[in-house]
Amino acid sequence: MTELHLRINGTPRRVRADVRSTLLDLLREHLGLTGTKKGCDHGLCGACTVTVEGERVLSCLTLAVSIDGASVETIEGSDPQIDALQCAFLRHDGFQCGYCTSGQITSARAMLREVARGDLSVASFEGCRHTVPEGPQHLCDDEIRERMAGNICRCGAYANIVAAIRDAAGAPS
Amino acid sequence: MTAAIGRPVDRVEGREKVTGAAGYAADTVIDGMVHAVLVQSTIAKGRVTAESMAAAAAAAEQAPGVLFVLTPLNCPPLHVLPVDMTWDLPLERRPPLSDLTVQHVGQHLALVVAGSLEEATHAASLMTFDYDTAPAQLTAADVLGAPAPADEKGGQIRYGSYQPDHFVKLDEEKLQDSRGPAEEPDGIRVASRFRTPINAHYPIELSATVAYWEADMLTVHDSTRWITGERRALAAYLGIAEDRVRILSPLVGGAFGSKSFLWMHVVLCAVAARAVARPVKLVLTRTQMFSSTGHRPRTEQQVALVADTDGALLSTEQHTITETSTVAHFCEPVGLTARFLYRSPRMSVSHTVARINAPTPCFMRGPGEAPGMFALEVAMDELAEATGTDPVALRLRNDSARDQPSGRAWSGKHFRECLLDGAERFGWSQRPAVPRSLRRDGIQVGWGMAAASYPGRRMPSGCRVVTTPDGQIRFAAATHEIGTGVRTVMAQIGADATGMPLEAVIFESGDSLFPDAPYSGASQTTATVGSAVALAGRQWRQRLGTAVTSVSELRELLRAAPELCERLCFTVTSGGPDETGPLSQSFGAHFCEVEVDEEIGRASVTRWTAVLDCGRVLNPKLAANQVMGGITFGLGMALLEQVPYDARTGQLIGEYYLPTHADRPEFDISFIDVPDYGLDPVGVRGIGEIGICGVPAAIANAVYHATGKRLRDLPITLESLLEPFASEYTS
Repeated sequence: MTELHLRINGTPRRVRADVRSTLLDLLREHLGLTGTKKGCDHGLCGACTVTVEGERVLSCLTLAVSIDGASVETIEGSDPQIDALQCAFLRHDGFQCGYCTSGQITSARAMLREVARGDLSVASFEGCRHTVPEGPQHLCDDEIRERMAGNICRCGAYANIVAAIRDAAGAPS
Repeated sequence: MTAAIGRPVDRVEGREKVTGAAGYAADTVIDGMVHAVLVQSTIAKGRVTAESMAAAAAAAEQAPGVLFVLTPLNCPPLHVLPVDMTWDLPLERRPPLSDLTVQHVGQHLALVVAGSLEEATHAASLMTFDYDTAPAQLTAADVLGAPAPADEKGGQIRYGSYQPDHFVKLDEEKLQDSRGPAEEPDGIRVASRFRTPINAHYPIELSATVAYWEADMLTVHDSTRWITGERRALAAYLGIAEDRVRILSPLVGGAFGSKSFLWMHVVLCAVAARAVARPVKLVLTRTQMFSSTGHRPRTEQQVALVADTDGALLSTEQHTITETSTVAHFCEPVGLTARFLYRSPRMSVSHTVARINAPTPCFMRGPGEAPGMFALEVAMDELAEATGTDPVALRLRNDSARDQPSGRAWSGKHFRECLLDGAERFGWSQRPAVPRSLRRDGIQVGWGMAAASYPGRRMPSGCRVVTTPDGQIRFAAATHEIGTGVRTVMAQIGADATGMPLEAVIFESGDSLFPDAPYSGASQTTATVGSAVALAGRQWRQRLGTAVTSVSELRELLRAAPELCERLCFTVTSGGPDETGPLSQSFGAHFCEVEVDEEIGRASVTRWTAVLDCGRVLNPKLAANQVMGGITFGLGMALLEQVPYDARTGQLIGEYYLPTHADRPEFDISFIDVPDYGLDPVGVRGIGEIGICGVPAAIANAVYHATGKRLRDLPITLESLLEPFASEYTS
């Protein structure tokens, strides 16, 4: 066991963790934050997506001890109010069983930040040439689909998830 | 007041789902809870030596944090299930850990319980075994080509093959069936062999169980979509009374046919919880999901269609070989649709099931229809070409006014409208008949279509109503929210039946203490539980005796007459379908566009039109989502999905590919939306499965139209699309 200092959803936490614990198991089994889901436990499905220092990571592939001192954001967040993206998921029915939803929403939030700072995706190279040096000016559906391809929804609510993200991205935050 | 039914209402549990507050079985936290990890066999057939089992258990017991190791050497005797539960349902005849033999790779051999998941995982990794291996039969060909060994353990383990009479408990759904003359008539004939692989349900939620005992009472939180069946099977294996078992199924993270019945890990978790006298939590790994929670079995199908020169069918044959395990019965009912979908004076359908050394299969979304309509609807495409008929016209020409096997009329059949509307919406009239005619940016483009059909099913169900003094009406039944939106649409039905606003009505599911309801499968929940909710709502209104339309009015009434609350708390039971009247069956039509880049062997489905007749649509937002999900499921089956077992050893050797955001087409989903009151008073038929029916065929037909390659084995892989184009159109 080793002691870690983490800032989780804005709150500093001192936790004792098994060195073998993944961030996912630490959150779920030791910190009671069960909103983050285990879908495959080996980095395929995206259900366990959280952000570490604002960047999306697969918490099942992240050893908890490897991020000592970091800031972690989960679906539970720090704000009891739901945000525009969560509202859009509700309104567009961006889920069915809901099991991948925490990962989809967390992933989409971070993805929108990636787009805002000009990160490129494979889809960016299929559009106008100027998107490559400048980043995509317009977040088209193909960009969203490509950038969200790491989050699997077995229920197949993909079209509604994309509609929700498009809607929230266009809405004033 | 506006009716709640028909409105695109948001999911009632949606807010919980977008905030992470939604509770699934693995989220259950109970004081003192400890963790279990399964250990499974690594060979396909043989026997673990008793010495190595004892040594492995001793090694695990000495590992840090370990509380208990359950093996065949110390497992208390478990009972054999009554025959009515195993003779035609995929429940295992042989209780888990009841001997040292191995029947397939991934069979449970031990369960390790420790204080933490990490400790249990480590201890489980220490358990390695010596096996006396035996030759395994891994495919139907192995079984059918060799004499069957004698049964073992009084028939708990069986070999060889069999030909089941009908599908599960449905006597009229004949798996060996024929009509018309014995000899196939002359005419234009297409005959082909089709193969479909092992498919996995792959719900994103891993199956999870939390079990604990309080005196002789067992409580199980489980990812299940059949609470009442699980209660019965679990009590039977454990040899305790059913009323000593409570099953809780909070939200279920997808099922698609799995998470039904009782899988063996649940029994072992309950046994371990009794042994350690603490709550035990067991979550399967993704790899264990493949071997321990069912799958769609492989099929090999021979389909032969004969038609006259006008394309009118004279004969339909579909003969299937499929597989089950050596310890449970399951027949993928591949040929059921061929018995009735098209008018055919002659019909012959058969099913042969080979018992192989593989895990037990079970229902998966569109059991029978998904693989069976793939073959049938590709064969229809072949017949369209052979007779020079448009594929839509061929289906219209062979539409049947009655259900030929039973002679019953259809209760509201709108197949023709689905075909015609779909063709219109898709722009089918612009399709050139000749393959390889369409090209876009150097890529082959193809248009394909197929019919869809799925039975309208209904079973008896209970429903409880509780009216609280604050003016809330709470309906409840032991059904399950697996993502289908049952809590939302039941609330809509309850609101309209009571005449109250939607805000006044809550529907609860997921507890065996609620009135019994059947499994959430066979697309029957809305018709089944909905009938019970509608009945309860109407009774509620009668018991109230006066019309009330708002929560505040109801609250006032209850305040004035507190005894009314008691009168408005009651339970009802609704029955099954009318077996004598017209037959309820859903129909539909799928149209799609596929792009095939032959340089890299990539097929992309770009556009999809589906028109479906599923009776009355209760919630168009949820219904369209369900159908898109079904189509996406079928898209995976067509182009991506197969459980990659090594043909020689039965070992799992890779990953299971699924459709992602990047793979799905643009959808145009519409419904005929005419109520079918022949099935139930709500006018609905289920929509959970019809979405997938015919989808793999529509894609395979579009791939043929794009490339000229008639591909009859699923999934359609990169290799098959890369092959150089042969001038001969059919393989």
